[in-house]
Amino acid sequence: MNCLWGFIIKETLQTLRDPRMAVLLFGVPIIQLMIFGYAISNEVKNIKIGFVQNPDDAYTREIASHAKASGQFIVSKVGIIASEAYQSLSRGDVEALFIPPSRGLSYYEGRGEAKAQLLLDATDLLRARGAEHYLLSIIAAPSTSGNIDVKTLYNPSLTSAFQMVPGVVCMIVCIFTIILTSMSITKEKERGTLEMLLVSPIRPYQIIAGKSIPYFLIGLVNISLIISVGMIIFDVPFRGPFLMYLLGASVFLVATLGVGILISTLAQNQQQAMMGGFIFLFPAMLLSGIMTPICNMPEFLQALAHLNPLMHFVTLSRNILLKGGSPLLFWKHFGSLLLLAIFLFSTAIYRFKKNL
Amino acid sequence: MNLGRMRAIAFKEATHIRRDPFTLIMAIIMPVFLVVLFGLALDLDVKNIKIGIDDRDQSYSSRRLISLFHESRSFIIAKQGHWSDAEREIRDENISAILVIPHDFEKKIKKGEAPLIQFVADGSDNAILGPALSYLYGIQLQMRQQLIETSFQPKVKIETRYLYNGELKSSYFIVPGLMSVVLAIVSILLTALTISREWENGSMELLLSTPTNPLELILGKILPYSIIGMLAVLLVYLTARLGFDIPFRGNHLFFLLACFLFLTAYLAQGTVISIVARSQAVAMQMAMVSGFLPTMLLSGFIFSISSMPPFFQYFTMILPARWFLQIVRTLFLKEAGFMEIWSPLLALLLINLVLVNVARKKFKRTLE
Amino acid sequence: MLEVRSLSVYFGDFAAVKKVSFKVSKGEIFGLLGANGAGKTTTIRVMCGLLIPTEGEVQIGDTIFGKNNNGNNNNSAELIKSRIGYMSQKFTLYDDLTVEENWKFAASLRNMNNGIYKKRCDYLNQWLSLGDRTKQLVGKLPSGLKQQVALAAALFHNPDIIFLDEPTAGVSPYARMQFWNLIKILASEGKTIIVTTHYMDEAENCERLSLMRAGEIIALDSPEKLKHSTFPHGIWGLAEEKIPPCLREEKTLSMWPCGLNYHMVTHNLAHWEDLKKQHPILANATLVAPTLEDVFLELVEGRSR
Repeated sequence: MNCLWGFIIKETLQTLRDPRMAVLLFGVPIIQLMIFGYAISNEVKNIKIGFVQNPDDAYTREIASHAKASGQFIVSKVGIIASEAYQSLSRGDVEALFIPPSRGLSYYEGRGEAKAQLLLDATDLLRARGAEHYLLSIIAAPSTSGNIDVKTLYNPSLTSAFQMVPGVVCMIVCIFTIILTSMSITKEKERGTLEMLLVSPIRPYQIIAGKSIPYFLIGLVNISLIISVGMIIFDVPFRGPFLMYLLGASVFLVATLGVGILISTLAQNQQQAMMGGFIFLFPAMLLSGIMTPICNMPEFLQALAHLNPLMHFVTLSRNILLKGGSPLLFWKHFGSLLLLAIFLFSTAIYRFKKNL
Repeated sequence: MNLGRMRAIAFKEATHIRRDPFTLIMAIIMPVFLVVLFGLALDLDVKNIKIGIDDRDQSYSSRRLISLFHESRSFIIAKQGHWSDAEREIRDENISAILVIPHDFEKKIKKGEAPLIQFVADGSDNAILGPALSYLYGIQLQMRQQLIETSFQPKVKIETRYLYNGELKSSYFIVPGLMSVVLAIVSILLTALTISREWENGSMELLLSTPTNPLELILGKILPYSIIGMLAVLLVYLTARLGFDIPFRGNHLFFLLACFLFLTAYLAQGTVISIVARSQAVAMQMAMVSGFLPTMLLSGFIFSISSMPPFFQYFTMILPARWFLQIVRTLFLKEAGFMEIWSPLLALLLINLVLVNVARKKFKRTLE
Repeated sequence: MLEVRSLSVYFGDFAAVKKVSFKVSKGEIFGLLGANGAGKTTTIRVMCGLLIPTEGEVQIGDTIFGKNNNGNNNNSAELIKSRIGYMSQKFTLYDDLTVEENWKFAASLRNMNNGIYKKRCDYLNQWLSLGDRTKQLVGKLPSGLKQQVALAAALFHNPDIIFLDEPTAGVSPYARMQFWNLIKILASEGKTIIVTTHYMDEAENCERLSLMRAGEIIALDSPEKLKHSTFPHGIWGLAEEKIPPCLREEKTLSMWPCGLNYHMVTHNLAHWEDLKKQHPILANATLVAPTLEDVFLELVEGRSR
């Protein structure tokens, strides 16, 4: 055990000795969380809309002013001529263009149905669709005759940080555990210090433990740190039991450390380790549900997502933080995470031993 | 500045790359692989939102309302029944929302009163909730027209035309975006380690004892990687055009120029990182922090920049990926000429100049 | 050829090199000897233009460089870079490049034209009798040969001055001997060689040696003269077990273990005679020829004790 302790201490010291690394590990994630928490949202805002308008068309003016009041639109050009329409769209001056019939909408009042056109720049799909929905809801103002009353649970104000913070935490922590473990082992390989360790009485599993325990602990500290910052700055709730989250986080860290070690057994040098880490990270992030919902992906990718530790932990985190933690869901995802962690870590150990 | 020495460094770097085929394959094949995978995977048209329906009326009208949800194809009715604790189903994540039709639904319609239907939704994932609410709005309109006031006529009928992506294909939106994200990451990762590696193994000392100057070293290091990057661009372009059938409506020359500027910008950023870091592990972390995450989340790839608070809109201006993404989307989908893309091109050029200069300044010709 | 004038290098408050001055003439093999951290590598780095000294200057040929008024390294340091060859202790060659590729790289960093490159390549190849091994990856060469190839890389542009920082660390005795033969040939061709080393037997090959301790030069002379000046009264050797403990405590006698014997040195002959009377066992001591090791121990270690 002494041997292991010595190793763990050496590893921790090596990691934290470089002050830049310490800043990168503990300072930068908080800045990142703040940036991403404030900046990113799924909500479509500030849509630049133009109205082609005939000066005495009061109705179109009314729509424009409603659009402006709604907060989703920036009414950037009112009264451009129709021939400029395409140009202003292709230059990106406006993203949406409302073209009323040439006589103006007011003319048709009491004379039947008026046909107006809405041109949308669909290069950004999400914005185009958002613009259409918002504008339609403005034009067909709500009536009293039959409404659907929407009650939003867990996040009634639709604060995007509530959803983003648990996800971004996972991403940040995942990046550094995988990259740091894989690179630190590959570095020892590159320098030949791994051989030196082998002639010492230390056992292979002790090397792995010594390599992963410091990062495991740093990871736990980091997760708690970032979550607390999220709770303080963004008022992200923590509604579920802390122990549940801690368990999930621990198993998640074991799984990612397993991935890191696995990569290091495959890589010859640090550059390869890094590329390997990236090959895992990029798909893992896209298939995690942080950015786009998984239920919307093709079946085979949904199946693949179940092999993604990130997906399980992101789902768990959101569930525990926002919804108070459902025991059923916890066992489902915690179980999968545990299986993954055991599989990844034991494969890593097996390969590591074989490599020696 | 001496071209011969720059070439020598470029050649040496190219030999390193050649001797390490893993990296080379990664750099060229991986972008294509990722673009294919995620071109297929990311469908922003949210469909199949699972809902539960609690029909307490069990009448003709309520069944018609349910069929409206059914026909919309945006929702999947996963469960029907009566729940005493509806929230629990949502907490267990079996369904994303529950529609509760009150027992007096049909009665109220017949009386001419406004019925009130409740839609209890899961607010924990805005990416699902946002689209769900807009679909819900459409259904609400239909409900009014078909069930309640059959005489109801909207005053204005709006015909919507989606320009540039008429069928609203997600791949048109995602693939050009992915292209920039993937290339950004590969190029930044490739270079981030090259100079820090020379510091780490001590060869920098030897290089410094020769007449080589920083600019030669930096450009010599960037050159081979930009060739690899351009190759990757070509493959990704072909994948986008042939594999995903995405049109290219702009000018190829501008595209090439933009790709080149974009790659060199990120290669230069990688170089700055590797100069500042001096150890590969630190360089890697910096690359991830300053390259990977912002490029993925702040470049407008999925989360649009115009929706961000003003401060962050300005902040994204320092990201080359933001400008490249704008150029790529414009060139692929719009019939754009120079007028449409000169400003992002200029921005890329400026970023390039700044980064190469920072690299040159930061690069100390002496040891510390 | 090369002159260092009152050179000092401070890292923060720590003085790595303090007021060091020496001159090296053309064709000389000049050794820097000292314990780790004595300032040898720092001195070499300043001479190569890799470090800006805090004070003092270096003159190579007619070029003078050092700290100028702006606090920057002036361009003169860049000028000498084409005239020097440098082998660092940490890194020698890129392992994933072949011998030839490494050489080619070294040559092209100095803008050597192809014709001259070929000639140098053939010459060095013959000199080291590498044969086909030039096509091999450097990582696969034995360490002794790798060291020779690295020396060749440092020599490629035919520099006037060659700086070797612990060139033979971790190399077998035979390979070391070979390596030094190469260095002697170079010196006979008129190259100036400045070398740091840990091996005392190697230091014997230097024409002049400067012993460094804590950033200062504490002795500078040829190996033979150093031995004479350090031990004017010779060294007495005595088998270990015979030495009475009280002698080991003797303050005026420096004593250190050397193989199976102890070496004893006194700076006061009269005292030595006194001791002999007190301890008859000292009569068994025999006069031995001092080695550089003894000089090193006496000057560098002895005085720091």
